[in-house]
Amino acid sequence: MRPQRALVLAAAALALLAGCGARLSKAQYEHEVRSVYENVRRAFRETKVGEARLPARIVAAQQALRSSARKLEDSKPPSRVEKPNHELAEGMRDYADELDELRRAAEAHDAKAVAAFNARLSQDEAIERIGEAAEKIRSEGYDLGPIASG
Amino acid sequence: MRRYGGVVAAALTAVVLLVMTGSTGASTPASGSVTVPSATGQSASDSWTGTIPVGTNPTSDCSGLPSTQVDEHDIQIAVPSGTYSTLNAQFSFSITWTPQTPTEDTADEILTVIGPDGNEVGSSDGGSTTETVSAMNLGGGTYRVLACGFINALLQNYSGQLVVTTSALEPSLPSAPAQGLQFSASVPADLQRDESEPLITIDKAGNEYTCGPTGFSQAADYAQVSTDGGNQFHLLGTPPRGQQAAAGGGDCGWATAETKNSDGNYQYAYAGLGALSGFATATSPDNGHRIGTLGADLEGGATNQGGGADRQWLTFLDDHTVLMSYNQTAPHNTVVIKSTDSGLTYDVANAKVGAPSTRFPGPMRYDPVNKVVFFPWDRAATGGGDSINLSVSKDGGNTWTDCRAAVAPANTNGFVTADSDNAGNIYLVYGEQASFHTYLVTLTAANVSKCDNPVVAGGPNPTNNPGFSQPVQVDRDAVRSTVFPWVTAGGAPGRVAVTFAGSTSDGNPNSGLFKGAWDVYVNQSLNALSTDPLNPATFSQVKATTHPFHYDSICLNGLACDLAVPPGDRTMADFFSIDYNAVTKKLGVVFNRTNKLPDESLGHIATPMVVTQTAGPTNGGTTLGTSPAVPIVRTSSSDPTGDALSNYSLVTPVTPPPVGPPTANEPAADFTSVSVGPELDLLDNSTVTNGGFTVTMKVADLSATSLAKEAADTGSQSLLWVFHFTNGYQDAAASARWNAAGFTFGYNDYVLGSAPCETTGPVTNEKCVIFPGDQPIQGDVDQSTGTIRLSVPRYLLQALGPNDAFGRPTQVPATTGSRFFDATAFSVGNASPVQEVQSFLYPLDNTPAMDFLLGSGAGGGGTAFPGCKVSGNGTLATTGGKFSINAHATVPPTGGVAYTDSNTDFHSTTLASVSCSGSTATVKGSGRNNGDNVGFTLDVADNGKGPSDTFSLTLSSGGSRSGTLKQGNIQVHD
Repeated sequence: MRPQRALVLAAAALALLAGCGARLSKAQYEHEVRSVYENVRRAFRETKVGEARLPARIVAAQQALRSSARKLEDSKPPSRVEKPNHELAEGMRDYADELDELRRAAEAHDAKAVAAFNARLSQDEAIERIGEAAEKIRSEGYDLGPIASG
Repeated sequence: MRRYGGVVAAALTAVVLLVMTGSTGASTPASGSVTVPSATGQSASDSWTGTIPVGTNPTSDCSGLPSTQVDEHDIQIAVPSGTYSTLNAQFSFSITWTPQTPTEDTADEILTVIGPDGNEVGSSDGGSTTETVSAMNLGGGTYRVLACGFINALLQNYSGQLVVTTSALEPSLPSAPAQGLQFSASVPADLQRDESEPLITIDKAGNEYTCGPTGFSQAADYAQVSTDGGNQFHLLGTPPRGQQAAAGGGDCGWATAETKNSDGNYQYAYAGLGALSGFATATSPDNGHRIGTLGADLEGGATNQGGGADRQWLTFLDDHTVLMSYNQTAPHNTVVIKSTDSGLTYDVANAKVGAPSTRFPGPMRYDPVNKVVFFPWDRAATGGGDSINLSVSKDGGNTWTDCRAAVAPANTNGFVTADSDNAGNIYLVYGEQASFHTYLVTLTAANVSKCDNPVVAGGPNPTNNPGFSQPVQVDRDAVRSTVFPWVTAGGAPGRVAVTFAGSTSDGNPNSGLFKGAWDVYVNQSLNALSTDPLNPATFSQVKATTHPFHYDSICLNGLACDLAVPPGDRTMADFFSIDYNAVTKKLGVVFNRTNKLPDESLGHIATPMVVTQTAGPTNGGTTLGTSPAVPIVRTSSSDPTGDALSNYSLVTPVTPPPVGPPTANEPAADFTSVSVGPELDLLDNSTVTNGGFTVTMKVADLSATSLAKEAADTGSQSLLWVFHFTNGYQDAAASARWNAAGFTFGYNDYVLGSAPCETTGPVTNEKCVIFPGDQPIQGDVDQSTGTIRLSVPRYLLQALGPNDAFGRPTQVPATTGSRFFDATAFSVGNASPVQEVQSFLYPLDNTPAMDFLLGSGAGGGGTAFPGCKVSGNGTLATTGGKFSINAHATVPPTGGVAYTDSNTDFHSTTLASVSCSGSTATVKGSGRNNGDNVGFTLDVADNGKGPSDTFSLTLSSGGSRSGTLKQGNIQVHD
C-alpha cells in the first residue's frame, strides 16, 4: 500500500472512530471532566505572578479554558448529559473570551481594572453558566469534583 | 515608554548607537532602608541614583536578567508589628531619567520590584520617562528594586525613589465591656475527618450535635454528639467510618425536637444532600444510639413545586413533625416540605414555596412561644445591593409570607441567619461584601405578624418592612474584615451572640492576594432590642480562638474563586455556626480549622473544632462569672470515667432498631486525666535541661484484659493514645501505640491521608488526618496504674512568634514559656496493627482541651542516674531515618533504641551493654526489625548541639544507617 493511501485510510478510520465511537461511560466522563477542570485550575493558579508576567499567564488560562472546552465537546458524553456538557464547554469558551478584557487591563498595568474584573466574578454570567451546567450534570448523579461543588 | 510599532527600528538604532558597554550593577548608595511610620498622614522615603546598563529586554521585566544588565538598589523595609491593624501604607517605587540618546525610543527603561520572598511586587514598562510600581501594605524585609532597559542604547543615568505614605483606616466602633466572656480551648469534634460547613445544634437536654459534609464524592456527612457540654464528642453512625445514611456529603441538615418523644429524649432528624436530586435522611430517638435511615437521594428534590435540590435546613415543630427547606433549582424557589415521621420521609406532593427565587435561604427556625416558623434569605435588590428578607409561617409551614429586613450594599458574606429569644423576638444577622462588616437587625415579637407579604413562586423581593430596627454593626474595634456571621439567641429578650470569622486586615478576602490572620470571634449584645438613640444596642467582642484558625484568603464566590486571577481559597466553604445550650447556659461554636499556613494557596482538611463558653454573661440572662472555673492555660485536665464508648450507634434501614447497639465503656481507652510538665528522662525521671515536655495520660485500666476487650469490641488490631496539640502553625501529635507485640511511642507533625482515608500511596486527594508517629520518642507505660508517659524533645516544638505586618504570627523555635494550643488526649482504635497503615480510626474518648506553656525544666523530680547515659532524638541527614535513644549503663542496662526509615522499623527489646568514652558511646543488644529478631550495635558521638552529632546503627541482618543529624540532638553523659 502506498504511504499516501495509507494515510488517507488512517485518517478516515480516525474520523469514523471520532464520529461513531462508543460513548464514554459515566466513570469515564466523570474522569474526563475532573481532568480538564484540573488543567484549568492549574492554569489559574499560575496567575499569582507580578504585573509583567500576568498577561502571558492570562493567555495561558484562556488557552486552558478553550482547550478544555474543545476536549469536552470532542468527547462523547453519556446521552443524559450531552446537553449540559455542551453548555459546560460553551461556558468555558465564553469565559475565555471575557478574559480578553482582563488581559488588556493587565497589559496596561491597570491594577484597578484587574481588581474590578475579579470583583465582578461572583456574578459573572459565563461562570454561572459553567456552574449551572455542572450542577445539572451532578443532579444526574455524576461526581464531577470541584467544578460541581460551588 | 512604549511604541511597539517602532520596536524593530528602535532596536536597530540601538545597535548603531552602542558606543559604550559595561554595567554599573548597583545604585548609589547600593542600599537603603525605610521604616513604615507608625502614625497616619506621615511619609518616609529612600532615594538613590544609578546607571542602567546598555541592553534590550523584550519581556518588560528585569527579574531573571544577569546582573550585568540591571542596576539594583536594595531597600530594607521595616514594618513594626501590627502596623497594618492601625493604618494603611501606600508604597510607591519610581525611577525617572532624562534620555541620554537623541530619541526616547532608545532610552526606554523598565522598573521591577522583587519582594523578600522572591516574588515580584510589580513591574512597570510604560510610555514616559518615569516608571512607577505601587503597592499597599508591604511586609518587612529586603526589596530588590531593579532598573533595566527595554531598549537602552547608552548607559542611562536615573534617579530612584521609594515613598511610603500612611493613611487612616476607616473608623471602627468600640466594643462594650465583655464582662468576662471567655471560651475554652478548641477541641476537635472529630480528630480525623474532613467535615466542612460545620453545623452545631443543641437539643433541650443539652446534647450538642455537630454535623458537616465531606463531599458528594465521598457520599458521607459526618456527625458527632457531645453529652458532656462540648468537652467530648461521640461519632454517630456505623463505626469506624461513621456514616448514618447511604449517601449525602453535599450539605448536612440537622434539627432536634421541640418536645420529648416516648423514650423521654429529644429526637433528631438528619438530611444529607447528594447529587442535587434529593436527600438521604436519618432519625434517632435516643441521641444517636438507634438510627433509622432511608436510601440515597430519596426525599425531596422532585415535588409538586418543581425539581432539583440544594442547601437544606431542618426544624422540628414538636416531637415528630419536621420541616425541611431547600433551594429548588427548577423553577428557582425555596420550597418547604413536611415530615410527620421525625424526618425520615417527607410529603413531596404538598411542598410549599417559602421564598421566591432566593440567592441563598438561611437556616429555618421555630419559635414555640408564638408558633412561628421563620427563615431569612437574600436576593439581589432592584436598584442595587442585596435585599435581606425574612419568610414566616404561622400555620406550621402550610402558608408563607415575607418581608424586607434590610438592604445590604453588596452580596452577603455568608448565609443570612436568624434566631428568636424566649419571647419570640427575632434577631437577624447578615454581612456584606462591600466593606465586609456584619450587621444585626431585630424584629419584636409584636411585629412579626406584620411580615405579611404573601409569598408567590418566582415573585419579586418583598419591600414591606414590618418594623425591623436599623442595622447595627456587630464587629468592633480592630476587626476590619468579617465573613460567615451566625447568630444565636434562645434566651432572655435582648441577649444575643453573633460569631464570625474576623481579621484585622482590611481588604477583599475573596482575593488570592488577601493577607491576614483569621480568628473566630463571638460578639455578644445584652441590649440588642434597644430603641433608645442615646443608648443604642452594643456589642462586646472577644476572640473565641486562642490562636488564628486560618490565614489569608477566604473566598465566598464558589466556582468563581477557582477562576479568579489569582484564585481565592474556598476550602473554608460557606459557614460555621454557634448555638446556645439552655441546660449549661453556655454558648458553643463549631468552626473549621484547615491547618493552612500563611501564604499557602489553599487549606487542607476541614477539622471541626468546638469552643465552649467558660465565663461571662449568658444568653439566658444570668452570668457564668467573670472568670472560668478552670483556666484555659493549665498543666492538666481531668476527665470523667465511663465515657469511652464503643458501639455508640447502630444504623438500620427505615425505622430505628428496636434494640440499641451493645454500647460499652472501654476502660483501656477511658481517660481519667492528662497532664503536662517539663521533659523527663523517663528512665530515671530526671529533668532534661532545655528539654521539651513530658505528657502523662492516665486511663481507667490498662490491663491486658482491658486492652484485649477494647481491641475486640472495636475490631482493632492496635490501639492508640494520641496527645494532640497545635505546635506553632499546625497540629502535631505524640502517640503511644499498643499491638500484640507491645507498646511503641512516636511523634508526627500534621500528616494527611488520601480519600476516603488511606495511608497507602501518594496523597493525591487530601481527605483525613492520620497519626503515623514515625518519629520515635521516649515513652513508657505502667499498666498497673493505667499510666502512659511520652517525652517530646524541644527540637520538635514550634511556637508562634511576633506578628508580621499583616497581623499574621511568625513561627519560631519553641523556648521556655512558649504556648501550645488546643491540647487534647484522644484514644482510638486502628484496624491495622501497623501505625504506618491507617484508615478511619475508631474514636473512643478524649480529655477537655487546654493550652499549655513550655516549662522551664526546673523542678522535675527524680534523681538523675550518675553514670554513663545516652539520650537523643532526631533525623539523619543521610537516610532521613528517625531515631530515639535512651540508654543507661545500669546493671543490667536499661532503656531502648528505636529507628525507622523507608526500609527499617527497628525497636530494641534488650540492651546488653551501654558504654561511654568521653563524648562517644556504644550501645549493644537485641531487638526486632520489621518483625524479625536481630542483634544491633549503636555508635554515637555527641559533638555539641545537633547537626555535628553522629549516629551509626548496625543490625545483624545487614545494612548501614549512619550519618550526621538533619534535626535533633544526641547527648552522652559519661
